Amino acid sequence: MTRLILNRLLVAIPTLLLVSIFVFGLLKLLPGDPVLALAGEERDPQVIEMLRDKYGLNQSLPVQYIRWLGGILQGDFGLSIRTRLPIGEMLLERLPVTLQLSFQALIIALVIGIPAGVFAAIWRRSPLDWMITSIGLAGLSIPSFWLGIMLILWFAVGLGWLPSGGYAGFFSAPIENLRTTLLPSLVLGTAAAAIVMRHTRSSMITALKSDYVRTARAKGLREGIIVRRHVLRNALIPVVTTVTLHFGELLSGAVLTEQVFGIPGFGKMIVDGVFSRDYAVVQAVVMVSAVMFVTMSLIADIAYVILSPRLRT
Amino acid sequence: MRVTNEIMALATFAIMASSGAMAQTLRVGLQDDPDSLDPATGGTYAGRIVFDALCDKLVDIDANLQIVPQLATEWSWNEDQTALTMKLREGVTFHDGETFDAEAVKANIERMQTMGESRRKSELSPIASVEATDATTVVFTLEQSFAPLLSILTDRAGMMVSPAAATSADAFAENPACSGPFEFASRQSRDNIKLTRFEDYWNADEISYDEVEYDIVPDATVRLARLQAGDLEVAERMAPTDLAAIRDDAGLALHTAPGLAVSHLFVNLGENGGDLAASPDLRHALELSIDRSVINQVAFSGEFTADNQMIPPSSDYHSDAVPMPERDVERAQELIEQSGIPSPTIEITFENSTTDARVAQIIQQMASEAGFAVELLPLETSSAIERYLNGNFELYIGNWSGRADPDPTLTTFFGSEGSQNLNGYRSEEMDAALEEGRTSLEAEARKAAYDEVAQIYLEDLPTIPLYHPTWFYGSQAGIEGIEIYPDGILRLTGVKPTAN
Amino acid sequence: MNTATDMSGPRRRSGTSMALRRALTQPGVKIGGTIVVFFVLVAILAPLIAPYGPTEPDWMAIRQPPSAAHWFGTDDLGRDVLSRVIYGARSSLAAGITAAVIALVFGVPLGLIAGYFGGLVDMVISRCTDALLACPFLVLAIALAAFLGPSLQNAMIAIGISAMPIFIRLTRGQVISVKQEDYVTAVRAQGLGDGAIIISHILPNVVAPIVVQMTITMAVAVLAEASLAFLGLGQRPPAPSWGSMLDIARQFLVEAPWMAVWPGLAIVVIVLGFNLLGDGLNDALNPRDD
Repeated sequence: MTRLILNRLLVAIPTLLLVSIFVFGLLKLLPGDPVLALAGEERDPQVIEMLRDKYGLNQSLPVQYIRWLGGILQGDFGLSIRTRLPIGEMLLERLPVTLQLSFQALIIALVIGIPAGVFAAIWRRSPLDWMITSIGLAGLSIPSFWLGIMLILWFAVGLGWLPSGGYAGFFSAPIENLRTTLLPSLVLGTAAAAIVMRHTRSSMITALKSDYVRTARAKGLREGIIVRRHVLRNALIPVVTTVTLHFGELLSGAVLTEQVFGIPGFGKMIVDGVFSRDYAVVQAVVMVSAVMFVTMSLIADIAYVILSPRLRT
Repeated sequence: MRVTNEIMALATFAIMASSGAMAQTLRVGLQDDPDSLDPATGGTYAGRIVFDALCDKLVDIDANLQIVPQLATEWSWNEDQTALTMKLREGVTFHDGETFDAEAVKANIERMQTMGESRRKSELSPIASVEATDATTVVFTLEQSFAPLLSILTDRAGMMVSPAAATSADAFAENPACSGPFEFASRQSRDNIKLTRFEDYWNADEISYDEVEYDIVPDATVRLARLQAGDLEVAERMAPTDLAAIRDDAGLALHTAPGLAVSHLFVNLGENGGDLAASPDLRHALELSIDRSVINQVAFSGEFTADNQMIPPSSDYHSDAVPMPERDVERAQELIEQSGIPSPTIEITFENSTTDARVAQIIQQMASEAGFAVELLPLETSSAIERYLNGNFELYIGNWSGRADPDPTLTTFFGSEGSQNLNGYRSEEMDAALEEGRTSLEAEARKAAYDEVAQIYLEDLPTIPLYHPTWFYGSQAGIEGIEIYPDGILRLTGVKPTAN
Repeated sequence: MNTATDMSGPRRRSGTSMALRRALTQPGVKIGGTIVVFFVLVAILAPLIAPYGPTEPDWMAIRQPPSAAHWFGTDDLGRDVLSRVIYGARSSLAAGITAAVIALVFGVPLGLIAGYFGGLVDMVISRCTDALLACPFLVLAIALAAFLGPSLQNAMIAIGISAMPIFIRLTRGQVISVKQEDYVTAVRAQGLGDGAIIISHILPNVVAPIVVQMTITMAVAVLAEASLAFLGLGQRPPAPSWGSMLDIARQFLVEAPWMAVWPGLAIVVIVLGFNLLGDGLNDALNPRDD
């Protein structure tokens, strides 16, 4: 087990280093100078030069890269060019928002996805299965931003039940927080539920065909008991690991969902950062999400080993 | 329903406020997050709205763009108009307890003139020296007479910060200390800025709210929705398409003011300018092919002001001698024929906002009816600005915020040395007229000079002004005393909640 | 990962084509195929079936609700929404197909090389693939599209590059499992060159999962193009794209909800078409469930 973790960590380091080079290189190649958007509408050349100096943009690229990497290793992400605030602080503000959305989306996904997948698998090839799979496929096909717009149209504009956007802090206004995060979580949860359902269904089908189920059936055990005692547990192991791996997709979804609902989260930070050429912010955000992705895959691997004893050798 | 919401919101707040008293909070919805909260380095419109509550200025404007006292109570020019003497208000303190006096003014102006990161350097460059003759008298000495000086001091360049707090720009911006009616409490980037009432404010009787909270709500529709839900008291920059909804809502009030800003189609006359650069005829043809009123109707529901000049009709310096031409496609086609370029192609670069995209598409359609082939190039802000600064565009949709005085707009765009003169426009005649307007303090002489300026640029057409936006603020109907001036800033002095 | 297919084991070329024939009898493939073909026809025949020009404005009829003259209503510049949805199929399909082809053309050879030769080459390619996969797909596409500048072409390239790593990983995995088969070892012992082995023995065996992955990638790419256009990084105005139509519609949700409904529905249906096709092909080519 320790060896597995060590091995994975050893692979993760060069991967993350490469991510950092990609991100850094790509952003430096982007046309558009971030300080121009900052220099006010007068765009005084003196001001522009001063700002470039201040953010170290006049140094050579390798120097900029090494200084940036060195800073990150010490936990210093640098200053946002646009807001002039420490990026570390911004991350601490934004990340919880997106994590809350993702967490709520995950709950929605599991509550809807797992039962739907189980029923579809048990009554395979029935009209119910057909219906569930079709809805699942539709859920995968809906662009998150359009679903967001439609939900706003319905619940905010039409019925007036929920706010059409914005965000309230979890601790400062818990009820408003739930009201503002409900629709976005639903949007994120829809695609995630479809994925969970599909995985549950297919691993349930495999499990239902396994030898021990056949043995159990031969023993005359009731189907309900077989499913609950034997199939479910085995079938859910791969679901847990794949769901963990789908974390990155939740983040992709959050990018647009937060844009539509105007939620000041991690995803919006990326888009705003790219559009205002706030290099330091985008670099930090992509690095953090890559680290999270690598950590999640590590957790998925470990969870897999722990949950399926036959792999423990 | 709204009333209950408000009561509930207030009740919630009362429970949460540590003092336990019924604190009155004014929540203002802003479209953008202000940048630095230091008047020396701030560069956003949203920031100027916050500054009104935070930092008092030497002088202010009124609704008619006339200069009125704020921290300076009276002022006078010397004979040859090269020295401005200001008498300062007594008994003014900064938020950090320091006293406001002539030395503080001197320190402020010098800080803005010399600090590395200052963005006020060029605005304040006409001031050669500042002298504190006694505690409440300060003298600004100029190299030569400069009419727009007072008007410049009505904005950030005239905002006085506590010299003790103003050590470095970053440190100051994190905890600004000025002398305005509200002092800084907290800030969450891209989310909100909170200010609390400054008890020692010199004009405290006119201030009725205990707290101001600026909430950053980028989407105009969302701002309106939050206003309707009672989650905001005031919201700036309402979308023209939403105005009908505000007017129909008895619980809301709409506050408007004609703006100083201008949107214009900036024509590159330099080497990258393409077909239009060499031919004034083609530029006139383009202008005649456009119906500005249709742009206003279609893109802005007719709520803005269609106009052919850089200076809006609300200003005394708008020229009546050169009225907006009617659309004339036939004449445009004739001019194209005259130019000898049978099918001129033009490319319009713009910052990728939905507003500019809409305007660009309307222009594209209209110009193509006259025989132009129009390409559109939307770019995100920083790339667009980069091209703009490098003169790498054929036509550019410029959005200039305007100033209370006509000089900063006209000289920067049309003067040979102007900082916005990025299209290679040179005219000696123009330079002479601008110089005349900038150096004479007489209103009549200035008016004549700016009439001439308008005549010249509307003949040469280095840019084609399209429209002037109007400021739209929405608020809860009960709030009294909101008056928006042409600079579009929400002034909190005199604003009070409904008595109940 | 749901986007990668989990087939293993070698299959002969004849097996693959038989499976493809079997796939055509799948209901999912039939429905999905019909949807895709329908949109392809709409895109090709757009000038014939669209009632108006896609960029033809009517200043007097802006934001009109659906009527007999404009079945889907008109937009903020008085353009016919139906015509724009019809023409929008062009950029959507072009983006979906081109991006998937880019991912295929660059991803598969890299995967073949990494899987077949192993060693240092494999290390380098695999680490780079891991690094690209560690960045969220859409974030990568947004950054690339911003780098290349807003246009449909650039959006396609950005999406294609972002979708490439999954092809590399998929092909590499397939190649490694095929490489160890006895018959490959046998032909190598006969002295056949690497190129010949790859083309005639390895490639045919990895075709099936790649076909499935192509279809899924098209669905993903259509969604991604809409997303980029929604953020202003796709098709330049005034040419219509479903994503940019939604971006504009978002500002008129109260006054003109019809502007938001139709382009979104078109995206859902076409993506559903590709997904059905992908699912059906996967079931047919990977019959482990039966």
